[in-house]
Amino acid sequence: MNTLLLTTIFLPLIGAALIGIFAHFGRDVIRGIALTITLLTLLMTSRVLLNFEPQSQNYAVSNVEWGAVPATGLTAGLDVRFSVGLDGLGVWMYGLSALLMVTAVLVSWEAIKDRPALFFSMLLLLEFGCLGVFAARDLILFYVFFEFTLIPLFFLIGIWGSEERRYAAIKFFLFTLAGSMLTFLGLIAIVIWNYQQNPAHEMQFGIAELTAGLQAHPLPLSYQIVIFLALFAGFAIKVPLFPLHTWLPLAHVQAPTAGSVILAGVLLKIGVYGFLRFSVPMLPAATVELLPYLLWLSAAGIVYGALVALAQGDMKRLIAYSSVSHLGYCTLGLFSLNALGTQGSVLQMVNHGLSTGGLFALVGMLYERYHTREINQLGGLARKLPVLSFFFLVFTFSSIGLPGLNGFPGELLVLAGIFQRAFGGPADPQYRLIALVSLSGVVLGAWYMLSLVARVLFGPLKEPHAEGEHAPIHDLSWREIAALVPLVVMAVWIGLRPGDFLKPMEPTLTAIVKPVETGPLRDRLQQFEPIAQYPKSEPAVADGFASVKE
Amino acid sequence: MFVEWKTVAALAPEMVLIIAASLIFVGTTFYRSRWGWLGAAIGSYALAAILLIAGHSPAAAGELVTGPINLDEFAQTMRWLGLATGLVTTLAISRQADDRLIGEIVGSIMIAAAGIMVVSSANELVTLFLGLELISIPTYVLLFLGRRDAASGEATMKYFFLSILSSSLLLYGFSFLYGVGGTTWLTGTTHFPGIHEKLLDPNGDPALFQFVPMAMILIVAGLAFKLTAVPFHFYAPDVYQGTTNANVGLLAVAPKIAGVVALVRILLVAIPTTALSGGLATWQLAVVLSLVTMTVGNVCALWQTDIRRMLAYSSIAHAGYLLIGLATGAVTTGTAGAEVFNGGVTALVFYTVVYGFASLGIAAALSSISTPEREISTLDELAGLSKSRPVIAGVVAICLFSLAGLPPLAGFWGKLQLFVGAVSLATNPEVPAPQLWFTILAITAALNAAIAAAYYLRAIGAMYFQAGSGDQLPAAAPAARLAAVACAAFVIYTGAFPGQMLKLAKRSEGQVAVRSVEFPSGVRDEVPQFAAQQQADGS
Repeated sequence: MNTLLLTTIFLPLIGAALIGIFAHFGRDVIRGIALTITLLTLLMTSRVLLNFEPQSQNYAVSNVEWGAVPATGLTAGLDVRFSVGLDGLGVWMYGLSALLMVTAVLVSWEAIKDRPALFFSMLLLLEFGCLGVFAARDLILFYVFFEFTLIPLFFLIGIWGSEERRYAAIKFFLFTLAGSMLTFLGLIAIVIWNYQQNPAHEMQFGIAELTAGLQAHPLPLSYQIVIFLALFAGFAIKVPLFPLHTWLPLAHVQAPTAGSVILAGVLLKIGVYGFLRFSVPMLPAATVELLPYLLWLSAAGIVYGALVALAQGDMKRLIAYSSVSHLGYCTLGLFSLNALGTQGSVLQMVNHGLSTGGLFALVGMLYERYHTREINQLGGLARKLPVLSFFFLVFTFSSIGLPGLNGFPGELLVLAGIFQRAFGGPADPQYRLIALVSLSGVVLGAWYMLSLVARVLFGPLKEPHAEGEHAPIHDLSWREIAALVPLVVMAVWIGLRPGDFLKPMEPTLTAIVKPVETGPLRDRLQQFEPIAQYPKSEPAVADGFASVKE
Repeated sequence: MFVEWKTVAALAPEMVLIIAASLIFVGTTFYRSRWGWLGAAIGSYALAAILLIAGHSPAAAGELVTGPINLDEFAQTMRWLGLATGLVTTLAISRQADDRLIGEIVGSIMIAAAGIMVVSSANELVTLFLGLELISIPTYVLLFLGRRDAASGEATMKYFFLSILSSSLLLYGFSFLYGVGGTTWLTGTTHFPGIHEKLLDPNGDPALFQFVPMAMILIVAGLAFKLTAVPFHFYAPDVYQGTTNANVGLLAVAPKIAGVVALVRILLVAIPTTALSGGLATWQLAVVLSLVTMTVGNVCALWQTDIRRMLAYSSIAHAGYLLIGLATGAVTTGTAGAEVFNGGVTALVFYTVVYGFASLGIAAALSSISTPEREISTLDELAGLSKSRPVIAGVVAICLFSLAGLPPLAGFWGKLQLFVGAVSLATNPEVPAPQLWFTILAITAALNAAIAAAYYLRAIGAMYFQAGSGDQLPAAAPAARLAAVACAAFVIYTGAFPGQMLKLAKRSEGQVAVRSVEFPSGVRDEVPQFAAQQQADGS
């Protein structure tokens, strides 16, 4: 079992090397290798996922010494390990990465004519990075994969992107790197604190050991807040949380279709994943202390992303801003800090990957046909391209959370989570406002997506050029359908049987929010903010509802 | 002063290089042959490498101290790096060099390489200085031989005068150190104390010890020139710009290795922190220099359009990073006189090696597509390189990513080591004074890494994202390309499998540290033959 997971991670790397070797055999061989490798990876990944044991802490673990340095004399050694394994938090994102990569290869099938060998090997390297991030059980290994994903995407955007690709690639890279360097410092500080509390022979880098160590010996609050902010810098830029999102629309619009699919589908989730993996379990006190700000930022992202999406004339840009809004839901659920919210958040990560991945793929297919992404130049396509329109509608419904599709359980759980936090017991009253504000995102989301669909798919037929000025427009080919069908199947499956996906992640997520749901931190969460300023409402500390009436 | 045979045998690789270089200098006046002299040079490097392996039995590691020579793991690592620097630069220059000058050029490179190796193993002030000059003097010649135009002449003159100035500062510092310690040995044994032992001696004269901070400052100033640390960096951009791409590799690496070794041997080992009076500590100086150096280097590099100027500022910035290691190593966290280095020396060793290979790789790659008529100089000339010369573009990209510290390349592990050292001091409540400073240092270093990425990415962007200008680049010179690919392979290998290199760096730190820790218990006496000889001489 161990080797199977390891093999799935390294298979894309081998594939990239193979493409390098067979680069001279032409495009067909290259993309054939890419497709074979991604399909094989998907197949083996599904085998790993089907046997997943939610209760086991050590599912599919491989653990080898990697960057280890022995301790000498008075100085500590380092125990960096190449340690991979899956738990309830990473398991579905792992599967999603393998799935979306097949879509990414298929949508690039015809679109990439310039240097296909480099393109597909970069794509496979990106898959290697994505799979590694979600499987890493060692802090340094996580960071290595986290940063490594930047390099292939940098090339994907910069070489095969649209007009402003150079600027977009460099901005994307620098924004992310600037944040993640601070994250790196924060992670190192965590390791060192843990080492200083239990001066063993060597510094531990295992995520599980660190979590246990930090829960046994929590950092002082001031340290926690500083380290939390350091981690926040990297993860929030990656998510991206409002107002750190400015790199995202640019990167999305300029990226080639496959790049957008993976960026939206997988890479953004690394930020949310990082919060759940490191910030919340390792720095619970700081999370609780900063909670109002985090929730407000999430809510602001939801509303701001949705409003800006409403005003967009470019389809890709619209979907990019909708990502800001949707990722706001993910962080909102995660910072609800209860079982419902975190489960919803993780499920929503997968959902967003499926629906937005699908939408970006479809916009790419439209672009290949009409060479435009302007909403104004298109209309009534449902007549001309019924199959494409069908898929477009399915992903739109999935994105706005229509019951029966995947968006519904995700959004419902997230909202249930925040409402439980706000109304389910004593809590800071501003949470109620946040809950209500975030609710408006559901309406706005339906508004911008449906108006997009109405303008592009329905109404009188409108094409950018007269018939004959461009190549004849055909509906989706079998290849394109094959790229989308797996996503639809997953969307329906999650929509109809969300339990299949929620149950395996439950034990892990419950453990993550446990420190917040018990003991002094729960009390802190349930306290009203300005106790000192309102000496009259002292009993309110015990009973949250009383003071609201006052 | 006597010389043991053991010392002579230990220095065999350096001697081979110097003798071969001298023979080449003489021979080239009678017989001109490009590939003949190149072959002779490569052969001598191979011979030196064999002797280096043969002379280094693992059992003797760290134990071999024979008078002026100290062959611990640290020295060995740096000697190998020196040898590699020489070999890569020789290969890089193979096609570009003038036919009539090839002998002089490869000979000078060999002497510089031998200089690095002498510095690496020096345990004595005079030997150390000799090694430093062995690096500097051939460099003047190389700078002048590289190209013959006004810029090159200016670069050489600038380098020459500033180098002389720095040597004099260094010598002045050395003389104070000699005055205080009464010996030129950096470390000795219980019976025959070196400067380290003298400065730890509780019966020492406090009036003399007042000169130690002055010696320290002068030595830092002298070595900061070698490291291109701000404010001793002014020569670097002009000199780099005015010389050839192959020389840039040597300039960026050789003085850095020498500077790092000398800083560790003198500031960290020979001058124990307790000997410094007046509230001045080595780490304070290093922290301030580091902060200024990396920021100035990176920010100035942002505006450069000339590759070699950019590389010059990048090398300044990396000097700032190296100084983090020095600062970390210089903070006392052990008991008095028992330096622990806090992982600072490990980081220094690792970082120097990976920085060295990445810089050499870039220099060799650029040199391979340059000809004597046309030296690749501006970033625009790199446009479209990924299509016309994919291998060269790949090597440059890999080395630049490594310099930027991105995983999974070697540079990342270097940064990790530096950051672990700095952060562990920033969070250590037992050393209250440096806490704030090391927090600032760590954060500045992290932000600097992002700034640095900006200009590295610009170069990579030019190669990969821009269309070529259409003018023909020469085919890559095979030897230079081989050297470049080998450097890139090292960078990737060390990034993917860092264990070996990290362990080596850690052992180096351990062996450098042991010396300090075990004094003054008096039991340490690892060179009995040598000690007996000395006693015999003395009696």
